[in-house]
Amino acid sequence: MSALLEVDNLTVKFGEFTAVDDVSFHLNAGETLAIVGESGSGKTVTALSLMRLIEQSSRGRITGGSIRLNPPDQPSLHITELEEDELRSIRGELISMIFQEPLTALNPVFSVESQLVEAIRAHRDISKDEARGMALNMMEKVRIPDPAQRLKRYPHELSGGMRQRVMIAQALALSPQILIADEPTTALDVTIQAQILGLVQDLKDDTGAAVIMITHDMGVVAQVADRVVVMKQSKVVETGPVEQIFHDPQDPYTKALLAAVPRLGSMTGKDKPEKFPLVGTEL
Amino acid sequence: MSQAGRSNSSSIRRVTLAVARRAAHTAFLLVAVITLIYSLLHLAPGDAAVALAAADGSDSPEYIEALRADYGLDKPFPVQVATYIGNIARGNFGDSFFFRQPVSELVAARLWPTILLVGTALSLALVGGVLLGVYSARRPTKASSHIVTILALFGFSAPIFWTGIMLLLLFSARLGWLPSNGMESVVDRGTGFSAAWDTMKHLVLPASTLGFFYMAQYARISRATMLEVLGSDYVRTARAKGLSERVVIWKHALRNAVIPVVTIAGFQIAAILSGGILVETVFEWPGMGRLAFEAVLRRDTPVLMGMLVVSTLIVIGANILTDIMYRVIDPRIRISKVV
Repeated sequence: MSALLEVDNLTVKFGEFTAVDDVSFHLNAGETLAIVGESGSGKTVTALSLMRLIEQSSRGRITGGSIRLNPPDQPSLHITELEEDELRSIRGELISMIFQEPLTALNPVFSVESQLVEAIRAHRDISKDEARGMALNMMEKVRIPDPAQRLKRYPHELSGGMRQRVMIAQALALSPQILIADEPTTALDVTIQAQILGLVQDLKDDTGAAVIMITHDMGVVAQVADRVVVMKQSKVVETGPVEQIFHDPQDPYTKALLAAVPRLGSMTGKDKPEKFPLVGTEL
Repeated sequence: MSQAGRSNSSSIRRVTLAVARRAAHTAFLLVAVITLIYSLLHLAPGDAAVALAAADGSDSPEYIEALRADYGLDKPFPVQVATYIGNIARGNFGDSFFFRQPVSELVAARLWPTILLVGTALSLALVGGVLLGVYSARRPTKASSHIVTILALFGFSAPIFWTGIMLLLLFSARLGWLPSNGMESVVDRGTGFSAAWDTMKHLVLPASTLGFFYMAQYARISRATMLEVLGSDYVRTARAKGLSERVVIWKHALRNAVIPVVTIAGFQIAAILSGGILVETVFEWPGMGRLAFEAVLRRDTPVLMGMLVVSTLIVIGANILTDIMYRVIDPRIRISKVV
C-alpha cells in the first residue's frame, strides 16, 4: 500500500532563489511526521507547497518534483498538476493547516462563528444552522470553555491560546486526512504550548488524521513525532524514525541540532552561564 | 469575562450615552464655529451697509444708518453674535442683503444640487478608486497595474478646474455628447424619468471631474493597503480553508483594506465640499459653492453665514457617518470609543 502523501524531488523557487531543493519524503496514514530545521531551512515553504498555497500567498513557484495525495477509497491526486478549483476542494477538506501566529491568522473583522461556518460551508452543502451546530461541536472538541458565547466573539476578544484552538477547530472541522501544523506553539507561552500539543495529539487520535508538525523545537519533536525529516538550507539532510534521530543521528547537522538543546544541569559547577556552541560552526 | 457578561440593557445605555455626548459635542462645536466665522467676517474690511446702499444706488448717510439699524449692524458685536445664534437655533438664518429673501430658502434651493454633485462624486471616487486599487494590487508587477498608478498620479496632480475644462472641451464641445453647463435643460426637459435622465446627463461631467481627483487618491491608498492585506496571515488562512479567490479578495481582504480609505474619505468631506465650488463654477452647477462664492463678492454676510453653518453641519454629519461606518466595518472599534 502506498503512503498517504508522497513528495518526490520537490523544488520551489522564489525568482532565482531555491527555497526548497529536491526534497522527498512521505507521510503514512495516521502518523505524525515532524519537519525540523532552523529558520530559513525551507520547512514552511515545503508545507505551503503541499497545499499549493505558495504561488498566491508568497509568489513562489514549484519548478520541479511531484506531490501525490492518496486518500483512502479515492483515486490519487497529483497536487502539483491540479487546477485552482480542484485545489480548493482539497484545501480544508483533505488537507488543513494551522499557522505559527494565532494572533494574525484569523480575520479580525469577522466573528469566530462566521469564520468557522464559512470554512464548513465552503465544502459542505448544508444550511447555516447545521454549520453552526458543527462549529459549536468543534469548539467543544478543542475544549474552549463556554463555546456558545465564544462563537459570537471576534478574534481580538480571545487570547492567543484560544485563537489557536479556534484555528485547530476550523482546520479539523471537516475531518481532513492531513493536518499541517506550522510551528503552532512558537508564539504561545510554555504552559499553553503543552496544552495545544496535547490537544493536537488527542484530536489526531480521535479523527485519525495524519499530522505534519513543522518545528525548530527538538522538545516538541520528542513529544509528538513518529518520524522526523531534518532540513537544512533547502535540503533534506536526514529522515528517520524519531528514536533513530534522537539516539543514532547520522548527519552531522542533526547531531549539532541535538547538541544545541540545553540539558538540565549542564552548567552545574560553573561560575557563570556559558555560551552554547553555534550550530554549523563545528561542521 | 466582561465581554461575555455584557447585558443587552447596559449596551443600550452605553449607546444612548454615547449619542447624547456626541450631540452635546456637536452643539458646542457649532456655537464655536459660528462665533469664529462671525468674528472673522466682522473683522473683514468693508461695510455691508455701505455695500447694500450702493447696490440700491444711494450713498446718503441717513439711508446707510437706517439700513444698519434695520439689520442690527449697529448693535455691539457680542449682542450680534448672541442674536444670530439665537435666531439660528429657531431656524431663522435671516434675510439675504442682496436677494432680500430668507437665507434658509436660498440655501435650501442650493443644498440638493450640491448634495447630488458631491454625493455622486464621492461614490464614484470610492467605488472606482477601490476597484482600481484592488485590481492593481492583485497584479502589482503587470503593466496594467503601472497604468493605474500613473493614472492615479495624473488624477492627483491635475488641478480640478483644468480637468473640468478638458472634459468640457472633449465631451461637450468636440463630441457634443453631454451638456456643458447647468443642472437642467431649459427646453425639452420633460417630466418624471425623462427629467431625471436630463439631470443625470448634466451631472456626468461635473461629478466625474470632482470624482476623478479623489478616485485617484483612493486608488493609491487602496492599492497600498490591499497589497499589505493580501500578504497577511488571515488571507493565507482564508485560502487554506478552500475559499474561492473571489471570496478571499472581496470579502476577507477588501473589508480590511477599505478601513484606511474610509478614514481618508471622512477627513476629506470638507475638502470635497469646497472642491465642489471650483467644479460648480466651471460647469455653472447651481450649488451651494457658487452661492457662497457670489455671497463673498456681494458682502452678503447672512447668506455666507448660512452657508457656512450648513456646511459645518454637513461635515459633522459626514464625520458621524464615517464613525458609524467604522463600527460596521471593524468590530475592534467599539462605539463608545468612536462616538
